[in-house]
Amino acid sequence: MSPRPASLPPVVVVADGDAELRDTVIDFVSARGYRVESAADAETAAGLLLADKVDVLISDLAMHGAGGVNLLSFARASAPTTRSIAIAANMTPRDRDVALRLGAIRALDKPLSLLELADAIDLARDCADGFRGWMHRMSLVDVLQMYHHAGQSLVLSVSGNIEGAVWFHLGELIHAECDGRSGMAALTALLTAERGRLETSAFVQTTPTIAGPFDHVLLDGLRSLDERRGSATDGATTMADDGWFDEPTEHSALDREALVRWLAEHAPGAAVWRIDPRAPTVERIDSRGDNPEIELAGTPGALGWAYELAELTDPTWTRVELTTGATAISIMRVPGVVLALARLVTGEASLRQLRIEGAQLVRWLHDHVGRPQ
Amino acid sequence: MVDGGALGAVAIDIATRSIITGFAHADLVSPALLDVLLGVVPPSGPLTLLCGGPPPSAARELFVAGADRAMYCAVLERGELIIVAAPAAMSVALGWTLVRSLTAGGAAP
Repeated sequence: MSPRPASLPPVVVVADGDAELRDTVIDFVSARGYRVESAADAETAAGLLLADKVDVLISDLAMHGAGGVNLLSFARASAPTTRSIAIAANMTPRDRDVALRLGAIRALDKPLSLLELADAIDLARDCADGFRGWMHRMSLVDVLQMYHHAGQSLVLSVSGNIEGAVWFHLGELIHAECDGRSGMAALTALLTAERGRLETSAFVQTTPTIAGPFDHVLLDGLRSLDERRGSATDGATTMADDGWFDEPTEHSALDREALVRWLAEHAPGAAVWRIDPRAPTVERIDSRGDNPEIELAGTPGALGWAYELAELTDPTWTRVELTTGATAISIMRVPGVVLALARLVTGEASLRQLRIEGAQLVRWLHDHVGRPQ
Repeated sequence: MVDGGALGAVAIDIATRSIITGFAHADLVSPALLDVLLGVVPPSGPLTLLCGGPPPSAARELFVAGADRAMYCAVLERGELIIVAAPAAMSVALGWTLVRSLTAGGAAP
């Protein structure tokens, strides 16, 4: 099968025993600029898959003959560049699971919603390259960073106890919606989601409500979240009179082991110190595993420098970031604890990573550090 | 220069310490901060000494979040120091955008 010239329209095969449904889908899909072939059974559809480069296969799961499930299996083995969409009446969760495991990018219920079908075809076209599948144990922040670094344009939907969606355009966050809100308020709300389900779909044009580079946007979202949580904890007291600026004491309830575990999972490779400026003492607390930044342990002079600069700039400081030479340091001060996070700067990406890790660490500290007694 | 929401901003010639341009910069930066930031006076606080002395390189970017305002400082290769003070509530993204805008030679958005 020779490659089709780029100027020719993409090919969609509709395989369904229902002639009326086939005609409806053919009219709808043709009108969207696709060349459409139809098949009344799985065998005919298989022949079409072998004869031409088919971009999208729409297959009924309950066709006569070999059946749609076998057709999906055949397509996955014999036409690996074809993306499949399963359709069926009275689809059970098991049917849906089987279809998705056989490579279908969507499983749609009959009667078909043409809007859903259009979205599914757009997604199928969008999935022509790259991997797709299931992942677990990913945080929302991880996934956002992944699509940013990949420069993707798509819509990422979040479902669970918090529902909403974010729009990526060329790797930048341009819009978010959640619970009737939009923009940064929606993004901040979505960042509170700790578990749930993520699903991507093809990019659709929208009015941008978020501006700025991705790392700054994400950092702002995490910071807003952090401030909101801090406000809820602090009540009506002010930062100046509630011991916020107390230096570390033996009473500050930092669960060191929990922190080390968190760092290993969320900031691998970063060097981390706990600072007691009054003593003064500096204690390296990351796991010191086999990471390439171990040399930071011998050159933490910038850490003291960053602390001094923060004190000179604003004695009420809560966070300082210093980039110097090949080292970037972020020091954060929360009640009873001062921590420093450092990375070698090998480019904008590593600096961005440090800033996001710093914002996440502040959130963790607010959630896990007890106030000094 | 327009303020772009900043509380104050200043561009300083590092060699002469003269102010190139700026507004509301009277209390923006102290000579002591400039000395330490630019490495003229090596940092010598107890933490720095504990950590083995000052690092060899000059700072490129410094961000300090305080209770009332946030400070953004950028040391440029062309020999200038840009300092922008913004309300603490201002978005960090907008703060760095202001600095980038100034360092690129244009007016703030």
